[in-house]
Amino acid sequence: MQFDFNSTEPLYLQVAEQIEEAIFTNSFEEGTQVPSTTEISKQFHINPATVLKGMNILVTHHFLEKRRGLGMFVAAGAYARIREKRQSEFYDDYVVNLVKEAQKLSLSKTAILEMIKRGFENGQTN
Amino acid sequence: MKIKAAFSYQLKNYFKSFGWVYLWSIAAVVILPFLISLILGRINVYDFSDYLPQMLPALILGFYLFVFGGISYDGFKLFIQNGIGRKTYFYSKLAALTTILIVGEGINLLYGAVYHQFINAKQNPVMTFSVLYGHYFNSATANTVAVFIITVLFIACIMATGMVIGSCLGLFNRRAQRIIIVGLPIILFVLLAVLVMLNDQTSLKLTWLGDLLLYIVGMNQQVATGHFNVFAPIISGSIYTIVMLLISYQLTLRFRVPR
Amino acid sequence: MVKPIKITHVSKTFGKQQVLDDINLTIEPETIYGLLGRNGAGKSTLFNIITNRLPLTRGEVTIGGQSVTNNDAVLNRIYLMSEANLYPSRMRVEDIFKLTKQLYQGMDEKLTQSLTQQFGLNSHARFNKLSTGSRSIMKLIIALAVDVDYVILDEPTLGLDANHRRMFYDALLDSYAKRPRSFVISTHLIEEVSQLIERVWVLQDHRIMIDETTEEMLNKGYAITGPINDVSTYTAGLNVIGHEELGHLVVHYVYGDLDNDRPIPDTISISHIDLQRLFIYLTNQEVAKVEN
Repeated sequence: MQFDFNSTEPLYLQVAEQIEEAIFTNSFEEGTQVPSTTEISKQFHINPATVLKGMNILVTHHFLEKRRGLGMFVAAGAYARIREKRQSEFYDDYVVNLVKEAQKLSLSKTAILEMIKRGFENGQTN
Repeated sequence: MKIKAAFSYQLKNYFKSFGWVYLWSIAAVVILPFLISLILGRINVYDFSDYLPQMLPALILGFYLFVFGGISYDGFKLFIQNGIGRKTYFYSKLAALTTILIVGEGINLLYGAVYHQFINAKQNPVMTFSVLYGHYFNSATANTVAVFIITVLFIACIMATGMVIGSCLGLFNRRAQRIIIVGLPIILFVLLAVLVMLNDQTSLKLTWLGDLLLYIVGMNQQVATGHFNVFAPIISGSIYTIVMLLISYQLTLRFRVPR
Repeated sequence: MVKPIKITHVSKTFGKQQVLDDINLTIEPETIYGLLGRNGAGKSTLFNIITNRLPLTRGEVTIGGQSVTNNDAVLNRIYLMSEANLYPSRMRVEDIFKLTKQLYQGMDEKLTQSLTQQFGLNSHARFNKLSTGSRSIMKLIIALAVDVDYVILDEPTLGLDANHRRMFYDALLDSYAKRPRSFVISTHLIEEVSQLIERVWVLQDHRIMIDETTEEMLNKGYAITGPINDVSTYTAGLNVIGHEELGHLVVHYVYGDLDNDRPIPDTISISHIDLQRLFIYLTNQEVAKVEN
C-alpha cells in the first residue's frame, strides 16, 4: 500500500480515498483486516482522530465494517460497491472536466468522440 | 499537596550533602594538618586532639544550614519543572532542614559527651550556651533542656537568616546577584564605620543599642554569668526565626522562571 | 475524569511591554493542539503562565475551577518541556528520570528505557555534558513517559536531526494511542506537525488570532490563481491575506468564506493551501486580517 498525502484536500478525505483505492486495487481483499487507526496514524504521522474520521466514511458507505474487539475489515461486496460508486461519479469527475478542457482547446465534439474511440482501441490492443 | 514526596526527596539530598560537608570539614581540619606534619617530619609532635576542636560539629551544622538554607532558586527551578509549586517547595525545604538541624544537634551533643570523655578531658566547655545560661534553674534537667532549646534556636536563627538571604537573591538574575553579593557587604561595612565614628565624635550616643542587644539575649550586669535569663533568648530567638521564615516564605512565593 | 485547562482573559506585561493580551483558550482532554506563532509572539510566555512558572498580570488559568497558582494537585498533571534547563546541571540523566518519577505521580519505566535505547541517549551522562539535541531527547523521553494529563512541548525538535524527529513523531503517536492525553505543541516546523494536530492556535501580536480545528482552518484557506483582472474582480471585498505575481498571472490567498454568489470565471482556478503557507500569509502583518 502506498499512501500519498500531498493534496490540499481535507486529510480525512484523503485517508478515506487512499483506503478505498487500496480496496479497489485489491491491496486489501474483502474479508481481510485493514491496518488499525493507530498503525496508520503512526505510519503516516496523522492524528488518530483524523484517521478514524476517514475510516468512518468508509464504514457508512459499507466498504469497511467494524468487528467489535477485532478492528476494521473490508466488507463483503466492498469492491462491487466501490465500482458502482465510481461509475456514478465518473461523469462529474472526468467527463465534465474533459469537455471543459476540450472547449478551451476548441476541440469539437466529434473530435473528442473520435479520440475516445481511439483510446478504447489502443486499450484493447494493449 | 505533594509535600510527602517533596520532603523525602529534599531530606535525602540534604543528608547526602550534609555527610559530604562533614567529611570535607574533617578532612580539612584534621587530616590536612596531619599530612602537613607528616611531610614536615614533625609527626611526633602531632596531637590529634589539638586539631579537633570541640565546636567542630556545631560550626559545621551552622555553616551547613546557612549555606543550604540559602540555596533556594535552584531547588525551586527543579520543583516547578516537576509540577510542584512554591508553597510545597518552601514547606518541604523547611521541614527537611529542620530535621537536619535536630539530627545535627543530636550529633553535637553526642560529640560533646565523647569529646569530654575520651578526646580532651582537660579542656573546659567553652562558648557553649551552658556557660551563659546553664545555671538559671535549680534543676539540672531544666537547665540542660533550656540550653538545648537556646542552642537549637540559635542555629535556627542562622538557618533562617540564610534562607532570607537566599530567597532574596533568588529574585535576581546572576549578574544582579553578583553585584549584591559584592556590593552589600561593602555598603554595610561603610555604614558600620560611619556609625562607630558618629558614636565617638558626636553627642549621639549609641549605648542604647548595646543595651537593647543585651536585653534581647537576657544578659544583665547584676547577674552572674551562667544565671542569665533563659526566657529572653528563647523569646527573641523564636520571634527572629519566625519573622525571617515569614519573609523568606513571601519572597519564595515571588520566584519565577525565567527571572 | 480529566477536566479541561481553561485560560481566561490572561494578560501579561513585562514592565511596560505587553506580551500577552486577553488570551482565552481551552485545552480539552485527549486532544493534540498546535500553537503557532512567530518568534516573540509570546508562545513560551503563555506556556510559562499555564505551568505557573510566571505569574500573570490579569486573568486566570484553572483546571476544574481550581487555579494553577502554587497548586500541586493541578501542576502535577502538566509537564512542560521547554528550552529552559531547570534540571541540576551536574545530575546524571538516569537520576533525572528517577527524580521525575518520584516528584510526579510516576513514569513509565519500560517506555523510558526503550526510548533511551532507541534514541541512543547515554543515561549515565551528566546533564551539562549533553548536546542541545540530547537535552531535547532527554526531555522528550520524560514528556512521553511521565504520568500527566497535559504535555506541553515548546519547540520539541530543537537540535534533532531528521531521523530523530521522525522517531519522535512515531513515539508521540504511539504513546498517544496507548494513553490518550492532551498535547500542546509549539514549533516552527509546521509541515511536520500539520497532520498531527487536531486544533490550531495562532498567536499573533500577543493575541490569539485563530482558534479552530485544523480542518476548519484549512477549509478557509484558498489560493485563487489567474489573470490579474479576473482574480482581482473575484477577490474584491474578500479577506485577501497575501498575493504573488508572475507577470499578468497572480495568486491571491484568501482566508475565510468565498462569495458563493459570485460567478467563477473559467480563467481562474481555486484550490486550498497547506497549513504552513496559510500561517506564513496570516502572520505577515501588512495584509493579514482575520474577522472572527
